[in-house]
Amino acid sequence: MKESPHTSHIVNAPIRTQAAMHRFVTLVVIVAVSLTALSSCVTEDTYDNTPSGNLEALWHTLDEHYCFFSYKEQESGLRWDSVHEAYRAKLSPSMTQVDLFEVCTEMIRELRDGHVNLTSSYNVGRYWDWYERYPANFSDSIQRNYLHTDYYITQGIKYRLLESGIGYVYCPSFDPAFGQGNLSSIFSHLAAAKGLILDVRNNEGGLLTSAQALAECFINDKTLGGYIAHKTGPGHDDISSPRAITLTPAEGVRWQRQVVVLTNRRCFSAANSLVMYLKGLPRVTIMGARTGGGCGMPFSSELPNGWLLRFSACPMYDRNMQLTESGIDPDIAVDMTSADMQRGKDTMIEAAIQLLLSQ
Amino acid sequence: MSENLLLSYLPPMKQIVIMLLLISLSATPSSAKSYGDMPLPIRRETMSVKDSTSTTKAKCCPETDEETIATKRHTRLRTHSTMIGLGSNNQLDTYLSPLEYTGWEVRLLQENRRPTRLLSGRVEVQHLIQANYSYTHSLTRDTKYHSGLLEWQAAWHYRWQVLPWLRLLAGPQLGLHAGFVYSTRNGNNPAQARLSGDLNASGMAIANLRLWGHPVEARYQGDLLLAGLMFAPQYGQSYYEIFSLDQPHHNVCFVWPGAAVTYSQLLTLDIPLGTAALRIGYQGVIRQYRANHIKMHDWQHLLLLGYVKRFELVKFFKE
Repeated sequence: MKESPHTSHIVNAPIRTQAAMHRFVTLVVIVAVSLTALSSCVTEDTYDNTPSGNLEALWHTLDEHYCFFSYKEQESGLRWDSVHEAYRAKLSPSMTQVDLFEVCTEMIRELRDGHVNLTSSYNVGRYWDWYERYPANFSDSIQRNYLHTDYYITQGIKYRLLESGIGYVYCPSFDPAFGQGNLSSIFSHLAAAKGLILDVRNNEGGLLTSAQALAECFINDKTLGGYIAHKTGPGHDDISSPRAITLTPAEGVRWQRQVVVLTNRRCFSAANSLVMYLKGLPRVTIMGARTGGGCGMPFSSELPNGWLLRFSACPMYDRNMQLTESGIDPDIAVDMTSADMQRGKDTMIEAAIQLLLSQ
Repeated sequence: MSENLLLSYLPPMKQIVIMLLLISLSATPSSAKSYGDMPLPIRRETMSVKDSTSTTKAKCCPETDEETIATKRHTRLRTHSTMIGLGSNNQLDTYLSPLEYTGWEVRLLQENRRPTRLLSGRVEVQHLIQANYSYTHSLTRDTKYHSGLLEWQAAWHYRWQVLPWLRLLAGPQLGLHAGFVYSTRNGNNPAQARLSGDLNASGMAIANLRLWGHPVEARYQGDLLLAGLMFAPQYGQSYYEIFSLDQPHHNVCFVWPGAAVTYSQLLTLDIPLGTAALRIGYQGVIRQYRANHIKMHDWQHLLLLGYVKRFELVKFFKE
């Protein structure tokens, strides 16, 4: 066979021994295994899938990632270390998953935060007192008397021109992604209206980008919407300096007349952020009840047993650097009255119509 | 500690590595004659060069000098190999979950090696392009990760012929990596981007052996990250804040072995098969980062299968 040019210069090399070969292979084995085994591994403290392990994982994840501890201490006297002790005492090795879920749910309710949830395959542990303990201030049956059946709808937003000449837009959720085309179509359709009612009652949030896109239809210049921060480490006060959220005027159709935003306690999360963006703008009036709050953008994590944990991770502040976690007060407080409801009238919509017609 | 006890202590993939290496213990180094037998087939491609510059160069290199001829010929040898890998992945990314995820990974590798004229032709350049996809899950299988990574690495290895049958190579390696990890269950932290560039120390040992009477080439390569830059969000920073609000905050982090060791190793065995060579091997990647209080690791162990083509460009210089 022809000699390889690649190896021709070593043809006359000394005779190799099998011992040398074995030394080489041994060296490779030692290097490979040592580097693999001795490399300092990057790992995270893990907890066993036991009642104790899952409760510890829950407590520690919140302890290191939840963003409102200082605020909750001031607002409700929360002592997170005491919570740890109290709920650890409720554990027993023989408790069922259902019992454990109850204990864990009770523990997260101590935070009094609608964004803190624990999801198992059969239930969602939650704190919904932020709206369940307050008047509903909304009835979809009565709303039908205004929307009728021939309303327009795009991306879940229902809209029509009311008999009074006021435009009515009901935005039940920010889960859909709003495009400029969707929003421009709404305001073009209502261009003849004397004023606009933007109803976000019972809107429990969704995409912050959708709330921002809607808010940007009501401004003509770059406007400060609020501030956002994030955790920079596991300490309770490891929070970054807040950074401005700047609203940029929408490129499509922008609303130039008066607007009344209707709110109730069930306006939460991204809907709360929309109200935060719009409050104080010229031509905008917030009417109804205090919003539900929820100004911490939630992150997700999980427990060893697979339960999904959601918690507030990024605090948001209004233009005055105040947290809106507990909600935003309306400019004009209005509640639904029993008398109006019996007549099929929505007190808030009626009050908004009166206000817009009088301006 | 007995060998069996040692093996039972190590993770399964490490056992496979050791077993592969134990098999190679039965190999013997190729004799002088066997080197002449061409351990791996080389395809020769001829090319005529007629310009005057080449003619001058040819004259400057007296062909009576055997060593110069050997070096000159050696600098024309190129190796192209394509491999597919299948194995396991153990992932941790505390931005997404504090739990480790395990599952499978599939990987494509394209490796090109060619000599250069640097340092009297003793420097080889290696290009390695890799693409991988992983599907991993938590212990309870409630959540899954889909992840992918595209990597390009270029290394410049200086070559020492320490023994007639053994070459050692070492040199710097540059790497660029871009990918993602997507969690099927998370809300506002559903994914993590992987972007990094690094400088590595790369070493290689290539041995021409005879395994059960057949000429084979065994190669071990190790790459250790020395320094690099990587993208990482802050501990609790959302991608909405980084990209939608355009507010980065120390998202480019310096990485080095003092923070976390990142090491990859490649063990291959090339067995001549027709005009090419069959390549079997093992790849282990320990990729780890600590950045902005976020911990990440990818521990990958893959068995490789591929083919190798070697060819030589032969130039004829016109006198």
